Amino acid sequence: MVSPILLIAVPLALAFLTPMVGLASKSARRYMPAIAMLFNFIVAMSLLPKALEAPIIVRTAGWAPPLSIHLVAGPLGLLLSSLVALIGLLVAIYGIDYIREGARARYDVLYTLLLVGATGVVLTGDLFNLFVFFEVLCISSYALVAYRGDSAGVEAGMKYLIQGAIGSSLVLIGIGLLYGTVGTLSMADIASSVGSVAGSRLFISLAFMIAGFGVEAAIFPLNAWLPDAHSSAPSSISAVLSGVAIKAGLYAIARVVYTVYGASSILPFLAVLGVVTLLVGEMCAFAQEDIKRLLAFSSIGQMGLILFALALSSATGISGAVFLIISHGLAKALLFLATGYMIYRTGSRDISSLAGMGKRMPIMSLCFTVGAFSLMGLPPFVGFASKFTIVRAVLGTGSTFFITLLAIGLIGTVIEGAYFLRIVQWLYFKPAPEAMPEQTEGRAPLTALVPVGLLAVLIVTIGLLPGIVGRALGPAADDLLDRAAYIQHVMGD
Amino acid sequence: MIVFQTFLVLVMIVAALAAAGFRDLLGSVIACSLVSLMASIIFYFLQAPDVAMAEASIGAGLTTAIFIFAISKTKRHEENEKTD
Amino acid sequence: MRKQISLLLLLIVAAGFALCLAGAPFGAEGARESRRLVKDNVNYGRRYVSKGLDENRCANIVTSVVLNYRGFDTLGEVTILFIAALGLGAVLYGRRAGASPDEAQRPSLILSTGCRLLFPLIMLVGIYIFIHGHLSPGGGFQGGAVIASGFLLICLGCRKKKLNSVALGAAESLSGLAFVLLALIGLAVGGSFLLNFLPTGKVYALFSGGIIPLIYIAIGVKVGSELSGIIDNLSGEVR
Repeated sequence: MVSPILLIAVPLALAFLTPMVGLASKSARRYMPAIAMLFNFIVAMSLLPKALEAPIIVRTAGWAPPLSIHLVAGPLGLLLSSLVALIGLLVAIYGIDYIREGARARYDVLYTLLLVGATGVVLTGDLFNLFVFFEVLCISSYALVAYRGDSAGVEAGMKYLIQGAIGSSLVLIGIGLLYGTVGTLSMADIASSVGSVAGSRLFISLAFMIAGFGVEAAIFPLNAWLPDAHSSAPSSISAVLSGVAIKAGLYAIARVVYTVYGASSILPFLAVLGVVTLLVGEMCAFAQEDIKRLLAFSSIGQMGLILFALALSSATGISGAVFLIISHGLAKALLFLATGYMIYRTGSRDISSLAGMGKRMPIMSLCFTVGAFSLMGLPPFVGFASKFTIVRAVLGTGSTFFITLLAIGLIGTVIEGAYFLRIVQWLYFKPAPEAMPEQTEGRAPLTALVPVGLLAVLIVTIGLLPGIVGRALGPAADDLLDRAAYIQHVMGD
Repeated sequence: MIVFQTFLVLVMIVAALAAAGFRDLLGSVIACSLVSLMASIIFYFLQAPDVAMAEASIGAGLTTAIFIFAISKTKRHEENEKTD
Repeated sequence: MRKQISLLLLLIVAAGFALCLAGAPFGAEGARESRRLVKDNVNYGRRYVSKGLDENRCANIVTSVVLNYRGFDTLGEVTILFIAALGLGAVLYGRRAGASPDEAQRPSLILSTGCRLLFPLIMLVGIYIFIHGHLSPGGGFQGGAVIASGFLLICLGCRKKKLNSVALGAAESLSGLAFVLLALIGLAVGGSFLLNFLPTGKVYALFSGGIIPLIYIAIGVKVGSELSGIIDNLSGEVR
């Protein structure tokens, strides 16, 4: 049997190898991230059925769990790492021809390492190890945001770096306090001994960790970096940042709150934060004229909805949240990728410059529309299935508090519908301006059309047959909710 | 021994305040490196020689050099503007 | 007025922090507390200290923890440093091309000769630190930093010298690859990543500790080349 640790070790080795490959052949180097992610996707998918039965515990250095670092490849972890690998693979294929300027060698390595960090975050079973992989993820995304080296990119990267570094130090302080209190770093071990500690002692470390991870997850008061960072980065980077990186922060919050602390009393607070984030994100997105900033703000809004669903603390709610993570990841990656070549074509990021794009780049526009409709939650796309699960979960709780919040949150979804329809209108129903400089270099090559098309096909297929991922969602939700089983799996043997 | 350690901590605090207070960036950087140096001595007394070595070589040595590289770049830029 | 209010707010925040942190157990009290809490009376720090010597035959327990019990974290940390160096290179890329050619003053004969005299000694100290990482305090990170400070000296003292960035990059990649491969051999041989699969030898001997010294040498080379790369990037940009 393959060990889940290969999901981290092999791409890491390939990332270290990439500069050496680059010395031999510059063109071969560009395929390295795709190779690494293809490997990850195959391995993660092949491990997933086994993990649905029971989490796979991986020890390092041969010691049993609490003594050394261990990975817990449970249903949730493997489901999310397959998502990371899938999006990573498609965006890597897109990036082969898309990235034309800058330090190409460093792009390939940083890109692979960003995904290694995300995979490590979702698979690890050790709190400090979570922090380490979180840093791998964050630092590579700071560098990639500033990758172009232009002043907007460097400024956005700097902003992101400073806020992210403060967030990371908060996480570190939180982990230090918790370690000082319970004397262990294994998440399962902490979870088993956390019950015997007074709540007031735990609260501070929990607050530090939520605030710290919240910066990366772009929860409302901490999201100032996101619009700049996601819009100044090259589109392929924006796609992984929006599709993968911010979800890792959210996963970390969920893991810490549910598994490590079992802090159900803090969930209503998170639900309120989620709805506020949703409203703020969608309202800001509505006011944008810059297409990439609009997509970035829309990501904030969707993160708010995911956080709200995670805070429901019911199996349906969490499966809805995980489903939304998947559907938003696919759709937002698709939108950023499609936008990338449209921007190359027009040379402008204004929404008005998209006029008549439906005729000039028909495939890209069609795929963009699929992604936009999916984000809005229209059937038959995957966004509908995921949002519907969340609504069902809220009604299932029967609590007036959550139903009121959902009602407020639905306003956000309406706003979302409004601005995406406006873009679609620009794409199809506005005449293209007459004197249009035709830039042949803006024509999308096959390496761009294939990933964008595949993402669109996936969105429609999963939307029509939600059972494909539906089978894994239930166990994934239990993975997060059932602390006792988690502890028993890790510490039991 | 406790007197000496208290002295080190005091120097550290004063240096940290000075780093925040100095108008001259170069002075701030030197004060920062002083903080690291004191921290590294304290780590040694706390029986953590490994951390002390890391702090001395990275905190007091390399970080300072990197800061000075960055500052020398800004300074040179200003001088250029003045002469133009 | 505004200054006073912000100062007041700062004080309130500081008082809040102080109150919060006052309750946190640390040091001896924290250890006692955690021993009480953790099941089976196991305190991991104590456990590492009492059994580490037998398990890894590595005289420096810190090294044993860093590279064996928590070796996976170390792999991540090395990666973080790698990313930081690469990221700096990516952001500065393209800015170096426009920089004017060497305009700095030639260093005096005394300065450059002194630097050349010191450089091998600094290298020797750095290499000693990481080769003896399993026996004495220090290790790959510290030794690598010392080596990088040697290159810093060369950069400052002999301004004509440029570091060979291809060689630095190769050292970086190969040492990182060596770390991962050593860890993967453990997975292949004994079914566990980072397993100490080599014979561990006698404690306090140079050849002891199994794969630990090998990994520390890889880390030393990696950290040294990465930090030197950072210095090279920055100093190249200054000119």
